[in-house]
This record gives sequence, C-alpha cells and structure tokens, in this order.
Amino acid sequence: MTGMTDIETLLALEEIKLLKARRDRAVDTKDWDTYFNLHAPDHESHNEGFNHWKSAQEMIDNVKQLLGPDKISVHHSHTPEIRFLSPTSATGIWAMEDNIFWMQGDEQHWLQGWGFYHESYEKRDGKWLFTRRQLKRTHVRTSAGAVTGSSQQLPPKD
Amino acid sequence: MDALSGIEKLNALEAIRLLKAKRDRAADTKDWALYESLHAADHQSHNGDYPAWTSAREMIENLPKIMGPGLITMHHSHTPEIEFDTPTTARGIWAMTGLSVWQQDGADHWFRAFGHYHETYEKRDGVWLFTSRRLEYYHTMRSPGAVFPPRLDA
Repeated sequence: MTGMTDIETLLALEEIKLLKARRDRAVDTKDWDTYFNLHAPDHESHNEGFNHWKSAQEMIDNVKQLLGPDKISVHHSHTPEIRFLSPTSATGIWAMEDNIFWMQGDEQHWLQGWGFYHESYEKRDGKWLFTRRQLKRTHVRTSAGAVTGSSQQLPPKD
Repeated sequence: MDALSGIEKLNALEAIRLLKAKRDRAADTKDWALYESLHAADHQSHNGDYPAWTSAREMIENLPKIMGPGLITMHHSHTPEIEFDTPTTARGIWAMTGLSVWQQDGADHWFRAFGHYHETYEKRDGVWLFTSRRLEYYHTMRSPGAVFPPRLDA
C-alpha cells in the first residue's frame, strides 16, 4: 500500500517515464547540465564494469570523460517495471540497449550492449529525481580490437 | 507546468502515443491512406534526408515515391517526452532508430540512423493530429557505397 490513488499513481508513473526519457536524450545529445539536474546530489551509480560513483558530481565527472566528444552513444530504454514504495519514492527496472561508436586512429569501432537498468527515484520539492542507478548487463559485444570505456574512467574517490 | 492535469492529461498522453504508434506502423507498412489521416492538412515536415514539406498533401505526394516498394524501412520510437501547452496543443520528443534496406545496382545496401523526433500535435474536432515533425539525427551509418536516399526509380 502506497497511500496513492489510481490517478495519482498513473500521473507519477508518467513523471518517472518523462525523467527517464530526458536522461536518455541528455546522455546521447551530451547535454550534461540537463543530465546532472535529473539526479539528486546524493545519487549513486553502480554500473557493471565501472567504479561505484557515490554522488551526482562523481557521476557527471566520469560520464563526461567516458562519453566525450569523440564518442557517439545511443541509449534506448524499454518496458519499465515501476513500483511505488511511497508517494515520494519508487523503484524501476528498464530493459536497455546501448550502442557506442568511436574512431581508433582511422578505424571505426563500436560496442553494442544489452541489459537492465535497476533504478530508484525520489520526489523531492515536488520533482522526481534519480537517486540510484545500477546497470546489470546481459551481454556486450564489440568490434575486433576495440578499446572500451572502462579503461578510461577516473580514479575512484573514497 | 502542463496545461492538462489528472485523467484528462492521462487520456491525452495515451491518444498521442497511439497517434505516434500508428504513424510508425503506417510508414513501415506503406499504408499511405492511414499515414495521411494522422496529419493535419497544414502539417509541416522537416526531416533530415528530404526537403521540407509545408502541407500534409505535399508530404503524402512525396512519401510513396521516396519510400516506395523498393525500400524496406524500420522506424522505432522510444521514451516520449510530451508536454501540453494548452488543452488541445502539445509538443513531443521521441528517441528513434531507423533502418532502411534496398537494392542498389543489384547489391544489398542499408542506412541506419539514430536521432530524435521533435513533433507538435493538435486536437482538432476531438482528434489528436500531427501538425509538425522535425527529425534530428545525431548519428547515421551506411553500407559502403550506399547512396541515401536511394534513387528507387533509377
């Protein structure tokens, strides 16, 4: 029981889906101010293959580095499973596919991956924000000889 | 702040998502009568690959030629961001992937695109319709030697 009416639940679902849509568009258009502002300051990221990022600031510093102007990214998210824990907190699981394209010298390289985003959201000051994201991979494939992002991340902050 | 709230907003969101689903299906099944019926007469199109079209009539005169039987298309749209400016006008942004496949000089060719649709919608006589569409690609790829858009009548 969340104490929400059916309509309140449906409207909150729409707001969380909008949050997710903006996040995917912000990352792929490299709109880092928008990206940062969709996350609570204490947002945590645990993405497979990467360090545990313990704040929105640490996340944005890494994401900017990993997906710099030399990389083209495509993040597509599908079929959300969103569950409300209270009128102001929820969890979500989204099926995802990502494609990354870049050059190594004059060679084109790519990464294609699939998995599920496991996320948490909180409504703070009337606005839904991301508070946690964990990408659990089912499969990643890359072009032969590709040097992938996990070797380019910033040193962990403790 | 959205101009719609509560159940009216939810119903309008579903109507616009249904409109979009029909448009993608009509394009890929080449159902041009359905395609035209989803657009207002004064609909405007600004799609990366083609000249701008300033009416639904102009759009529908061009599309069956550009996307004729020789071109197989896939348009997939995801994660809409829909906002209402008034109870009967809205804006939407959709993430998209497109794939086109055709024969060129007897060989198979393809064009793959990633981008966002920026659209506007209006409810006229109780029905939501497209009033504009702009497709912005952020990445495209093609088979070596591919000419896109293909010259299907060649």
